[in-house]
Amino acid sequence: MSANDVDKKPAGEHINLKVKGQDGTEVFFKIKRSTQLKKLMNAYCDRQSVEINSIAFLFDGRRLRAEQTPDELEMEEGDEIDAMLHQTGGGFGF
Amino acid sequence: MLLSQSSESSQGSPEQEPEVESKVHEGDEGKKVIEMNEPLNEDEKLIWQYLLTIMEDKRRAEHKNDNENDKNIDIEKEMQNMKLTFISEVFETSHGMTAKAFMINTLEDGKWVSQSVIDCWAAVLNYTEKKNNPKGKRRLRCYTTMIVTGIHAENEAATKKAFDTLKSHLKEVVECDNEMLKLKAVNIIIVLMIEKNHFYLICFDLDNKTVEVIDNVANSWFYKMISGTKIEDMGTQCKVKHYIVGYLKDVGHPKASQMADAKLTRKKLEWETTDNFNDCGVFAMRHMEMYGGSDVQFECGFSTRKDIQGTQLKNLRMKLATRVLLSESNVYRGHVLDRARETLHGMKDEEMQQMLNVESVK
Repeated sequence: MSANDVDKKPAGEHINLKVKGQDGTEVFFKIKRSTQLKKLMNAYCDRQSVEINSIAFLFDGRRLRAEQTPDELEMEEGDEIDAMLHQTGGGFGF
Repeated sequence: MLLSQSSESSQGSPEQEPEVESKVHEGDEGKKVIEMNEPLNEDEKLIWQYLLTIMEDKRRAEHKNDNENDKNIDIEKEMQNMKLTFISEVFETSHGMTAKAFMINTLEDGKWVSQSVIDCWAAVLNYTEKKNNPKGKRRLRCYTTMIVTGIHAENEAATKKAFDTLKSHLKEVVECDNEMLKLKAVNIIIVLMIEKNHFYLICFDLDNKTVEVIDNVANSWFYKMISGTKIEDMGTQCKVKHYIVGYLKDVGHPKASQMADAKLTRKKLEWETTDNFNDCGVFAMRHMEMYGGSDVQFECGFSTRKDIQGTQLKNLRMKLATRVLLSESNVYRGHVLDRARETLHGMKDEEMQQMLNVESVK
């Protein structure tokens, strides 16, 4: 199937989403619109070898919750999710 | 797990706040700032002791992991004994700012503070400001996620990207209110910075046309407030000013061009530190609560004596944790209080005494 065919295809039950890390790296995921984002979050964290609790996911100015779905959030094809690593600070400056 | 039921019940309607099950004292957050020299009141004590039990649960769970290579592990028994209170949600605003218990626990004495705690505190302060002054101008505390310090805007596309990030993350701060995105209802913008594990503030006073850096560390050697005509030559603070001013211009803010000319200075603090490598997050939380503009005397109540300041910081950590959890903006406030009463009621006196002893030794 060519890229044009994909473009022409009406909105199906799947959606392609992009997760962008703080360093600019992008990871693409295909997920069912009705699937909880927990799956995407877990998959992203697995690939990055980080704990799921150490990452905050933001979409369109909102923090995502694991039990939300793309349908609920009215996500569109190609939408971008920001992945922010929770940091702690104390004052070392290193 | 704590509150899992209420989280599920709120799924269908994210804007709907869960019902508060117990009676909660009216919060006094709107009336006064934190008194860091005062002892904890009864509710605060209850919440802090509850947080101590959560810290203890985390330590036990971590200890279990250390022994996971042991033979003959009874998983059922282990799971029964292991309490996962530390990964439960204990803070959430109606606009989706959340924090898990182990993040709030980073306010334990001696720990580095989580940026999520700082963001929750910003949400609490913004809520209070909005409640007290719904129509007038006010301070807006932005979240630590809004500025990505690694951004290099070397070309037009990269600069646009930086503004897009700022706008998208600012949307969370102004609670997805499109009108507030123009920032015309705000007279002070406080940007929370985390850079190289160090928290500090950059404050934009739109009325007095000043940009001030507020940092508890006397000489933060890792940054220099370098200005420059080219973005790649600028220091972080100057870059942040560039982005904020650019954003103000983009939304047609009336003060945008005046802010472009504003001088970037560092505020001199009498209580600045030279050898404190743990508490910059706590200082930042106090600074963001107290900053009232460049024309107002900046008094935070910190002693200049190191021993007294140390005690103040310890007390402030407990007060900040409890103020965040007991805030009216926290939809879990009632649940947390209920859970705290339930947990502490079920504890034997010896257990509690042992826990408090461990805490006092540290």
